[in-house]
Amino acid sequence: MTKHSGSSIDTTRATVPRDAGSPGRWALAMFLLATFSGGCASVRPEQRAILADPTMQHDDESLEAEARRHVLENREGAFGGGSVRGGGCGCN
Amino acid sequence: MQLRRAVSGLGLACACALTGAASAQVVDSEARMTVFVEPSSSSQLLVLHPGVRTAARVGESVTVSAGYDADIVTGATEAIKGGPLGGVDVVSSATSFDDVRHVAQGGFSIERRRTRLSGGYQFGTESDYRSHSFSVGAGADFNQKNTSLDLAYVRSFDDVCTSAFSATLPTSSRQPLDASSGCFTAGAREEGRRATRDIALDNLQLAWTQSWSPVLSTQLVLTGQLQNGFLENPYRAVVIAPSGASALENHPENRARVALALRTKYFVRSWQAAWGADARLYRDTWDMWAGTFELSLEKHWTPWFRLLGRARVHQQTGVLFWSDDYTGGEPLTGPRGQYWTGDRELSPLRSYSLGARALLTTQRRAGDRLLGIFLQGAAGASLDLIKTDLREFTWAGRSPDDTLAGVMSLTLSGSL
Repeated sequence: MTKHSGSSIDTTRATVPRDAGSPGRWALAMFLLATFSGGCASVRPEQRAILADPTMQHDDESLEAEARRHVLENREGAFGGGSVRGGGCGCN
Repeated sequence: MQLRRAVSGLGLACACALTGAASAQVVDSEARMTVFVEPSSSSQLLVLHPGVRTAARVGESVTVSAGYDADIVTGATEAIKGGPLGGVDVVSSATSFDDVRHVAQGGFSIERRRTRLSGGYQFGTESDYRSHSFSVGAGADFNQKNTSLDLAYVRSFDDVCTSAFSATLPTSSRQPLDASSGCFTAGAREEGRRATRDIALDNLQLAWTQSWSPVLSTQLVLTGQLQNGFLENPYRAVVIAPSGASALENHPENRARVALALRTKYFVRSWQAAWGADARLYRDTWDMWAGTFELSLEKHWTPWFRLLGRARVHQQTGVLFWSDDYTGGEPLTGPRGQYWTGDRELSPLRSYSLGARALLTTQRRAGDRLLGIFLQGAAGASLDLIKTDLREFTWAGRSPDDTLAGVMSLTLSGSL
């Protein structure tokens, strides 16, 4: 049996998961900001032609973008800020 | 068996989409082939990633969709991770493998004037992994559609195949899988060669999209994820003793992750081009911090041709228990409490990406169809190069040579 022994081992080091921040507080702040600052913007419907252009869309849900996200998420430790997807091991 | 279930699921989703298509106003279809290449002298990787998706609009407000993706993976991987002090020949331990992952999905969305609702199901299967994902989403527009709020939730129930160790076996005695054969079969479980471990994933996302002027919009996205279960790579062993003895990776079984991203789009009329700037901050309970920044420029060269260029930088810290060598002492190498990992994605790294995408589109007048079938069509090609700068990770003291990867995609889409 393999023993993870030795005097240099410090098993008291903090490996207990830490608080990752407070997503609830962030969500509330986002909602309030959206509610109150959104009213300042006034783009009239007839001015929205450019905003409707495909180059101005934030959510690129094309299969090409999905494949790129899949690759990046498997090569980095971070995730999020894009679309929410599940599944896949990425073990290899 | 799993493939048959995946195909059955896809068939059901297609049936739903086609049933919708019978009375549909528009049917959108898209097909893609992506090739991922990671050259290396010892652990090269090639992934073919075909996918198809179709969506049919039924009546004024309902859309049903179905899709299928596959990952066809061939390559080699180092099955054991050791650091400079471990005295293990890691590189020659690289073993060849090939695997195919199938993913079938189906969903619906309902869009009213200012509100939307969506739901979906996705099933993924490969020789050593299974996943069932359920998703729901809702959104609403305010202030003459200048403000949009969207909420999405995805719950995944996953199973991963591992070697058959009991929960009471010390983590330092657990050994990795040597192959995926026999996974999810009753025979291998009864013989005590394989076991199945659960992974539960909860994803929640809130997005606020805001139009500030006729040429400027932003999107703030908050994403949270809870992972619970077997979060190790079942194939990877880590050298944890000066004798060279190794054990299966050992990660905490819970991980909470949160990311906040701000995306900006600004259209320059004189260039007929849109600038994009995305910034993301990430943190998790394994004490990883990460920051990502991406800049893009997409220009209409003609009404039917546009070109996008993008550059991306990502930097992250290692997780709290990361070490390049668990056999030595503090502070540079050595044990980090009760956990150990050989996962380079959990180590401190920087990654740089440079890419381009070209898109050709054709728009037809009513009654004038492309090839007699399509109302509109598009063809696209993209190439991204990704370079990873591993700041601490080594193969027994040697820098890995598989840090440059290429991703190429070809897409075709059309509307009937």
